[in-house]
Amino acid sequence: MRPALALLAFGCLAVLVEGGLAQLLPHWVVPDLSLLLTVAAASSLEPGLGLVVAAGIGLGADMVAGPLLGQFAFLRLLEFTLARLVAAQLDLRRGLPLIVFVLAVIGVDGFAQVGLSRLFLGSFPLEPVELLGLAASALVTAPLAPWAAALASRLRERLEESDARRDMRLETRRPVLR
Amino acid sequence: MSELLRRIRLPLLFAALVFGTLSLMLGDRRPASEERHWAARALLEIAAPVQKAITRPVYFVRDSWQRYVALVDVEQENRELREQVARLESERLAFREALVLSGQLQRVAQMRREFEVPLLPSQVVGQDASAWSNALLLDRGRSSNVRSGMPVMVEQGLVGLVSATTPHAARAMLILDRRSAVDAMIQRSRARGLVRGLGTGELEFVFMVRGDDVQVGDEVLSSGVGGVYPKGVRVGSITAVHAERAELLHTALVKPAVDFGRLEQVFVMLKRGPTMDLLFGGGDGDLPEPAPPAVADGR
Repeated sequence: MRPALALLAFGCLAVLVEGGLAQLLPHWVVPDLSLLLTVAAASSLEPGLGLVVAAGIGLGADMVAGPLLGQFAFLRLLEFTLARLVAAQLDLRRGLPLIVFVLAVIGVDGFAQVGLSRLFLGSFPLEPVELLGLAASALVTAPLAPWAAALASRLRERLEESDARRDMRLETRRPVLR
Repeated sequence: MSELLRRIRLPLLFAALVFGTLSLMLGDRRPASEERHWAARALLEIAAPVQKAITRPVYFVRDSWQRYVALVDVEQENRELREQVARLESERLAFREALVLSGQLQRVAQMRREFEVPLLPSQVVGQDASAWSNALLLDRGRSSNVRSGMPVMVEQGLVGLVSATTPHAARAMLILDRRSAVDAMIQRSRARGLVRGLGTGELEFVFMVRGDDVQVGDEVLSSGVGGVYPKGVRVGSITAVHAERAELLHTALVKPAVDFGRLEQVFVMLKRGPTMDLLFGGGDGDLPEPAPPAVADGR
């Protein structure tokens, strides 16, 4: 539970950082940190909690970005599920497969955003320059995926380790108290 | 039952979350005029302070950068801008001068087209400082075919008459001079009269025929009748009319068309009028120097 909460907190922080960077830099230079943490959550959290975390991170992203409320939450849910499914076939703990997967997910994410906007909001023109921006964003974001995965993994290990130590400490004290 | 629930727990959770997000999107797609989905309202309520919390430090960082860190090179930039301003100011003055000259040259060209006789440009190199005469010193003289009795004018109007020449200089009596008299007419009514210099900055238009129509604001032109000045050169405009019923001669004050205080260049008409030709007999003689007025003389 604690790793899930920590990852959710990191996800929300990532959204804040993303929003802050977007104020200073061109959008295609800003990495999609919330997507990276969603993919990282897929390999480090159990599915039920991971889904909630993914939806939470998506809602956080919806607060600061996107033309449609709930769009990012929906997409993060799908991406989390996709990552879980692909992880069953590919070893997403290794760097290169993870980077390739994230590249593909960013492409899917971009087109899915356009599709959802067209579906719910009607006309949503897609310009060639936006495709270039999407490609640039993918190239900026994907190399960071191993670091995001390592962060999630270390977070889980540390928090689970501290839980285990606390259990051990409680175990050792019991005989003394008796 | 519990086993079934455990098995479908994950798909149920997934479906519930997907349904929740889809309902959010459906709620958000309504036009802005309609009431939005309650969840959307709630999220927006949360989003507003969050966005504010995000943008505030970002703006702080950006403003700090722009106001302090980015000002490192401002001194150099300021110096460059000052130099640029000075250069642009100089260019602006040059352009303005060019515009003025352009307009002036256009008027000059127009004036030269109007007169069939050649006009010789001449620089004003001095002005008569005596109290009893109003004259200019010009930088062209007999070597430039300037002769006494030749009219002097500028694009605004009549200036005066060449009264003395040397090989490389000439003296021109202004129409402001008390000795000066120009046969003139009112442009509007063609009323004829004589424009005399008062020795001050103004002229006097003296007209003989009672009932002539002379009004304030009328333009006064040279009539060409006196045989000294060419016809149709602007002299000035009427500023006041003094028409006493008992008197035969009526007078009016005329404001000269030319600003004599700012004359830099004049044009000498290289042909004398018939009266001047008769007076000088084709020679190069000068006009007699004026005697001081009797009143001023004390006699």
